[in-house]
Amino acid sequence: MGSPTSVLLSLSLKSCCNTSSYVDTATQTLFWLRLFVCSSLRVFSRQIIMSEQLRKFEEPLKTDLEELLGRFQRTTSVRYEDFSSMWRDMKFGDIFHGIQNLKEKNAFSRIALNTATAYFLPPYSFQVRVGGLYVLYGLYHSQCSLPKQKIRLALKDWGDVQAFTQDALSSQHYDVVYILHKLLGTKAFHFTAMPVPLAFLRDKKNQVMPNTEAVAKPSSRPQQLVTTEMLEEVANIHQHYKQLKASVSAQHPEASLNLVRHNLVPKLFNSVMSFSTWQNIHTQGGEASVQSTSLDEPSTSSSSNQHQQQQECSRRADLLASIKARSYGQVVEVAKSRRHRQAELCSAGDAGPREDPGMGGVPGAIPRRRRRFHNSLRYRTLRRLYETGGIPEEFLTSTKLWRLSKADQEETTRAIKTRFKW
Amino acid sequence: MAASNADGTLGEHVPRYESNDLNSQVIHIGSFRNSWLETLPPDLYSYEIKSEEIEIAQLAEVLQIPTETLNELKDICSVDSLKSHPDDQPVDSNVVPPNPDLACLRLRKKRQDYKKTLVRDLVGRHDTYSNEMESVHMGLMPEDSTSVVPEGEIILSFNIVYPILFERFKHVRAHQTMQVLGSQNLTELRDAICCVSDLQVFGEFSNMPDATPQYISKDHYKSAFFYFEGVFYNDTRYPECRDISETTREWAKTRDFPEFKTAKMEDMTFYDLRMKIGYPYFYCHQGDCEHVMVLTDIRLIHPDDCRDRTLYPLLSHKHRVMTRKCCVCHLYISRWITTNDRLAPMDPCLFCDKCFRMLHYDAQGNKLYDFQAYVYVDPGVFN
Repeated sequence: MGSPTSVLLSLSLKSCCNTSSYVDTATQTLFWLRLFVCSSLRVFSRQIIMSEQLRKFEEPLKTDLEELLGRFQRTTSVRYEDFSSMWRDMKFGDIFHGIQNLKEKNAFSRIALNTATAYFLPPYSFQVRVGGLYVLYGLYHSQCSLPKQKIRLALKDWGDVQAFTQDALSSQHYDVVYILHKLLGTKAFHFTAMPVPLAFLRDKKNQVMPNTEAVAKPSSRPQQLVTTEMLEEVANIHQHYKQLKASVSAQHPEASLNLVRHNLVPKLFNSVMSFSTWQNIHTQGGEASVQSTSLDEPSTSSSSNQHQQQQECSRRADLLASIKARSYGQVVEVAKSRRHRQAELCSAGDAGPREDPGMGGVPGAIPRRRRRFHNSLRYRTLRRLYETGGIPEEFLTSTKLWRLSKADQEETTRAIKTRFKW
Repeated sequence: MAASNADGTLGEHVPRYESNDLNSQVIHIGSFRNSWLETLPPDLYSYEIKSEEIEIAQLAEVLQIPTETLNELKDICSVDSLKSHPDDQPVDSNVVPPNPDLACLRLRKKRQDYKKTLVRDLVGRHDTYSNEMESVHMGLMPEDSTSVVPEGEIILSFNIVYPILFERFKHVRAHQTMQVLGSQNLTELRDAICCVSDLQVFGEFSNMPDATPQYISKDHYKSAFFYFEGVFYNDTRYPECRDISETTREWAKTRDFPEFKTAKMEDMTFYDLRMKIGYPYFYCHQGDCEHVMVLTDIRLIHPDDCRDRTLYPLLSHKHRVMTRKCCVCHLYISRWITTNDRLAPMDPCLFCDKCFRMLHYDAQGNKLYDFQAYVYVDPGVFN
């Protein structure tokens, strides 16, 4: 809808300009307009920050709500008294405290109510939904925003709410019905089309999507396809086929008829087996024990797999160490002209990237990727000179321009600017 | 009706997600409103708030329990039961309570503590009034009773994105939000959308900077169209309006696109539209000033909403943009743009009115040298 039409629409500008004398200046001014709008769209960063900030509160909100509802669920009751005592106990009403800006208050209330509405609607059990309703009641009445933000109720969920009311009525939970009626009576609901306002934020949604790759089951299509029954079937057909061939060409056996391998079935079985072993090795750690094959695995248990894996890793580490030892083990004689820079011998372990002691040097453990910081050549030379006693220590630090106007003894603390970690 | 909704056979006009959390299916807006009104008891969407006695009496009828029991229930379930602090020890709601247990408050406290470490916490005057636009129309009643919005009217919220979007600003989506009533015409929304390209003045004014321009581009080029769900809604209210969607439609014909339809903008109300919620649509005016529009929300009107019909479409959010200042004083917003200007540091160059006149004209208002000057309208004029 966007880009292909836009080109043509800009062409159609000319067709819509009725007065020809304006055409030139019109396009010219429009061009500049575009040019300056481009650069003036430098937005106020505060606006972005606010919405970003509030999205960060969604997770802790969920944690808090689940904590409250979990406690409520443990009481195995749907009474409001139990809920309100818990609410007071947790000081849940304070959740709205500490925001100064009114706009932020409103936005936070909206997020809080939207998050809580999810617990009031189906897939949850009746008790949790009652808890969700009480939470909505509590949040609605303890919010500090102005006007009070409303609870959004979508058309598709209204039927569920009515069914919920019927359930509560028939089992005589009067407090549930009363609270719902009270919320409806105080006009706490917005009757909407969708549960949340939608603004086509595709990019943001993608970022939020959790990475399910780690949890996903390893693919088992080959194992599903090649089952024991299927193998038997293939073996039978193969047998039959061979017999047919034998009957046809008993008199004069031809090499051109040998289109299929003799050991088709065992070969197929073996390749599937080796695939699944490979897969088990590549899936990390204990998950390897999840056997999704329908074949009967002959004694390739997870422990032996892990052992094998560890062995393989340590073999690789050993190999690397030996290569290093060989290459660093001998010092090359340098030319006479460079004899003041004699190469020194150090052990392979020192030369390599040091392993984090926290990792315990477990072979196969992925070393934490850390950006290595190299000092400049100038610094390294100065350091070396300092170590050999050639220069005093103050040569190591460079003199900043502003220090020219300050006494040497005066120490100024540099303000350390850190970013906030969410 | 409710029962049929509950067992999963939702009606045709009940909006559901088409792609998850992104946009809804196509719905007919008028039918959507009708299905809400059919399911809801009228007192739930009416403006009046019932007195407590009537409510208690009605509820007693529904629950079939005596009023005394209900009064007892009322005491148990009162709002006071939620208060975690006694009335005689009020707490400051602007301060995060010390040693909070809730995860939200812990995060907020962490954030506030961090902010205290900053040398300078930006407090803009814009932030103080940032909520103004939302709350200024709250519960506003019209002076004459004829222009009251009827109960059960629906309010549509449109995000109208500013025309130019780059990779750099993609995460922001600078936009304005308009609230329209369902019974309003598309033209009313079109007239309410403010965009700088409507305000441009065409022509070279270096010889007569005092001449007040009589026409802005909005008066010259009145054609515009909305594009919703395969239909171009053209503005044909004036004789000089043209169908500027024609080029696009003809191009699409040769490219194996489905047939696009056209309709007149002034004949359509929002009730007649079929749209997806949360799906990007299109508004084009001034030939090629293109705005992406997203229908973010549809809901029934609430007593807290503005009830004055004449005030709709209501602007409820506006994105602020930086204004471009005069290149001489760096203080005032630019009003002139010059080219072929040998005294200017760049080409084109922006000036405020005062600096422009001081640099380019003598005391009698005579032009000092040759250059071209055009009127410049800053996109920040709507801030």
